[in-house]
Amino acid sequence: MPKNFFLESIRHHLLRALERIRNMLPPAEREPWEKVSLTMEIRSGEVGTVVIYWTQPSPGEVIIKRNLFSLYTRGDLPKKQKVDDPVSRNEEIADEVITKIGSTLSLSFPRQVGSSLNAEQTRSAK
Amino acid sequence: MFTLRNKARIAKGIVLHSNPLYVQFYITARCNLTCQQCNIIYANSDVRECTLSEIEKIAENLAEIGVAIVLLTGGEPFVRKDLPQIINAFVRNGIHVRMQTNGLASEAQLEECVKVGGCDISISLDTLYSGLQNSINGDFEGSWDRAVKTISTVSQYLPPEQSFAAFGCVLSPDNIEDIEDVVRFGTAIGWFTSLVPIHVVDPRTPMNFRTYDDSIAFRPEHYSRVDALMDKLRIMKGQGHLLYDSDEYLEDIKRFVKNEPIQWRRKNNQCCDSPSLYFAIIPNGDFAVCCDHRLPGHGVSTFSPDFPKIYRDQAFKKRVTDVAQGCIGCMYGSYPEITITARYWEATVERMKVFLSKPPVRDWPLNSDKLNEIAVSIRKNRLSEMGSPKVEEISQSA
Repeated sequence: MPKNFFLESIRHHLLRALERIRNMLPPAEREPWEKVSLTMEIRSGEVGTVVIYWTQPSPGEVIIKRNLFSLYTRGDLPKKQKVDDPVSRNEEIADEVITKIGSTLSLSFPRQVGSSLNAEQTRSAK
Repeated sequence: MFTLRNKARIAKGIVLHSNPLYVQFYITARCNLTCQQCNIIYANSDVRECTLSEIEKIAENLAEIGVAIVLLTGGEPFVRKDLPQIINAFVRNGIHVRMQTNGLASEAQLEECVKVGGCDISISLDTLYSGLQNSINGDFEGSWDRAVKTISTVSQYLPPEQSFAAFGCVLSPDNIEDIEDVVRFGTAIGWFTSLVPIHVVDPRTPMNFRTYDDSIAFRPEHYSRVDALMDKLRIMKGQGHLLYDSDEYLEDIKRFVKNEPIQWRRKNNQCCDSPSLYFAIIPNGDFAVCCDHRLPGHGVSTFSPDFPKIYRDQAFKKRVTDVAQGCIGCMYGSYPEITITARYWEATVERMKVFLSKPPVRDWPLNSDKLNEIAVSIRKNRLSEMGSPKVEEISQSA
């Protein structure tokens, strides 16, 4: 079955954010974050949502709104052209989702949890 | 095919390493396939695409810094409705355009792109088996047939004497046995083949182009088959088959699939030649070191009026080189081949022969039926050589 563009994109940008955040931590605190990177998957949730889930260091999930990220903004159709580039905002959102995962797992992370994350729900099965 | 000005730019770049020969411009992240080896369609989704007027400024800036060739890639470049105008913007500025497609470009689009000056195209083709190609393309039924139709259309519109056509072929464990056939097929119709081994990365250390799918990585049981294939391809090239890759590059493929250190960067302290000989641009117009690495920190826009000045600044070059020096290296075809051409005399001569000698004999145009007939004949011959029972099956399908 063909891959889903949006889900694969979100996965990539979250893996990037995981790497960014992990690299800010002392080496001794990185291992649980690496486990999240290795086991994290993304699937569609209920209407308009995306479920981010992982199995290690202990299983859990975060559900976010599907339209949280601005992806594939076109430049060839005048009506869809946008002057503001969403790249920084997308990066901030990815960092916020990852810090949310960190707080769900009680992991240490280098930044405060962002205030604008619209995560609807978090569950940890620790 | 190349203008005099472009030939001079290429020669200057090769000899002096002073101007970028080649720029990869990822004009969109959108695509109509989800090929198993590709991650760039996801990695570049977070930026907006440039508008046409911004791309026109990029073309002017690239001309000013002496760029000879721009590769328009994606995603699938042909999903952009303004692709002909984009091509024209670079052609107007004296830059040679290489178009790239996954094979789903329509006839009308191709006709228009050739009309505005596109005379160089690369189409993705990894096997002569339609089922396998459809699977490699992300389970898109009919994508192999569409690619054959596109090859036919290209042969109808591209001028046989003044053009370049190649297959971009990704080598993976799935198609090791099919690569020779692709090269034979290309040679039979006047197309070159260029190989790129599949790149797989650990999800803990993401890189923009490389897939996370470890199930399609090379494993020890594949190594001897890859070695034998590379040796065979060198022989075939010597016999006149249209393989674009240098011997140096083919030897490095052997090392790369085994996770051994690659050698093509050895004359530059194990570092590639970005940004001196090549660099990349992501869809929003920002400079990138390559398809795998963006510039960390604040982006540098290539459509900014200051870009030529920034590009020549030594501090900027150091910023880029710092990223390149930290890279484990790649085998993406163009970057290695340009470095090899610029730094290894034998490869320089080999490459000059390709571009300065007469183009291969091309009995164009070719319709899809004829192309299918050639493909079936090549598959049959090869299976027959191998004594495979599949010959019967292919004869029936033909």
